[in-house]
Amino acid sequence: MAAMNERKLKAWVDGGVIDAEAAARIRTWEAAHARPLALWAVIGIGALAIGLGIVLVVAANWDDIPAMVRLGIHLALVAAALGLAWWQGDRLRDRNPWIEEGLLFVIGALGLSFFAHLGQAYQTTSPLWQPLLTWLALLGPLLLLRGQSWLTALALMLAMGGAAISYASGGYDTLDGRWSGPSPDEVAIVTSLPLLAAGLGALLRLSPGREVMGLRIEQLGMIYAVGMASLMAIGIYGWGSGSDGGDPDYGAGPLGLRAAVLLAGAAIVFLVHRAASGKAAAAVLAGAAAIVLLSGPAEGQTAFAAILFIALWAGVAAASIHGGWRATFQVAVAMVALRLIVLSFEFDDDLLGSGLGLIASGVMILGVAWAAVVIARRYAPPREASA
Amino acid sequence: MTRAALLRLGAVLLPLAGLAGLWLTTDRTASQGQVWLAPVEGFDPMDRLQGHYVRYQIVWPGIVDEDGSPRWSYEPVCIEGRPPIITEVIERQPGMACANPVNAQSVEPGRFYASLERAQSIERQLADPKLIGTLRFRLRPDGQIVPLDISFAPRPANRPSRRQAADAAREIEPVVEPASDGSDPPR
Repeated sequence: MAAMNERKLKAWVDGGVIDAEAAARIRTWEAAHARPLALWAVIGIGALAIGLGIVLVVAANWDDIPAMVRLGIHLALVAAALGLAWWQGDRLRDRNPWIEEGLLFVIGALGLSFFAHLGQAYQTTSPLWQPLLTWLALLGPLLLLRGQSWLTALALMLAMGGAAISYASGGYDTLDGRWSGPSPDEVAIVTSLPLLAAGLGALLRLSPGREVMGLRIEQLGMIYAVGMASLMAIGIYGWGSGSDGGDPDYGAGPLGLRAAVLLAGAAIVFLVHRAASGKAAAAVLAGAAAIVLLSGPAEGQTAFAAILFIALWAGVAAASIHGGWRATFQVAVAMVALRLIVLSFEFDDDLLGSGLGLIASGVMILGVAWAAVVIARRYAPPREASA
Repeated sequence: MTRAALLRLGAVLLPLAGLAGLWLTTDRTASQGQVWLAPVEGFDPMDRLQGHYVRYQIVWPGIVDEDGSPRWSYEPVCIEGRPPIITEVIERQPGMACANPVNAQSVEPGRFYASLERAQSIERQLADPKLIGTLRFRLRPDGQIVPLDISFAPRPANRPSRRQAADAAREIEPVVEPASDGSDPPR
């Protein structure tokens, strides 16, 4: 490293790029800021070996350590990590934000595994949504307050979505002990609730220093909402033709409830996030509500279902132009193109049966893809400024 | 202390207090309820994730097929007797009065966490037709079964396993293990 610097400096001085004085200043600066990389590497390897050794010793003797001692150590580790985050959080963040982020990740993982550890020690079981919700309630505030990265935001969103889906898929009734799932209305409300992360993120943006994390949470909530509306639009013909004349999940009640939650999210984002991108986000949520409501009448109709899906993503594309989200616009165009291609197969099941049909569909796919690329390039808004 | 610092302190203390509280409540509920004994069979020996636990299925005494052979129950049941001895088990109907209800979650195949070595030993013994396994469990007031231990005793001749009883009822010849002493040499 130093040798290379020296050779370059000499070459630059000889070539007249910098004068000898500047070269001397560079040398002084480099000497003062040199990082002993080799030393750090050795220390790192040593720490890694010790850490791995501890893990192996604990794992090998896991069964011999009394459960209460294990739980105590686990809780002490959580306490130590939390203490470190409390005393040194700001200093760690100043040095490198990823150090604090890594610490938060460790705290989150230790917290989640504590539930599993309790279950193992006390021979208890519980449906997945219970530990996930408890984890969110206990660690959510800390992660929202200190988290910075996509990783942390995604962990929160996954916990919310996972808890909702786990609850919606049913469980044993504690009183009568029989397997039962929640009613379609309950499923609709519970699986819609995670999209309110969009509103939560918008609110979080208001507190100083939380703008970036708030934006990430808001965007993930929107992704959940658009994903839900897309699944509703796709599910229309998939599950539609039930023996009793329709899927109960597509009844007026469940659809109305989903739309209501979407509109509530739209209202929060609209009121709180007053920039152009906030209005665009609110419009997407409101549009998703309309799509969800219409997915009821469209049940079982191929063309109507496809139009709904395309309308949803065309709306997302329009909002992207308004809100200045370049990548989202390109994804939206790709989704519309994909849906058109799928539609062509839906309309003609036998398209692949004849060579001519295959050629025709191939030409159409190329055409749609070409149009999508052109639209995505030409009309995409410029790269988003960070806010 | 500023509002922001207070918030941070709260956010740090909340998970600690919450996890500790959860441990306390779990510990307290773990000692509730009475201890009972019930015969068990192995369940799903092909579970590849297995290791630190054993899957078992309780075979409630008195729950039988039309031909009188014991069968598994997937309904919530009601057990009667003086702990730890079960004298009678009936499948519970909704609204039925019951002193010791077991909910259906606990009637499903259960999971007993044990050390790797012990889990493998229990697994082998559960598969042994000459042994009868007994589960010692705590029945919590909410109908949950908390397994405490699985022990084994030689199977009495008058108490065939569920498989043996079912085979006998269907008059199926038990599969004879091929003799290994070469009495039937290959031709």
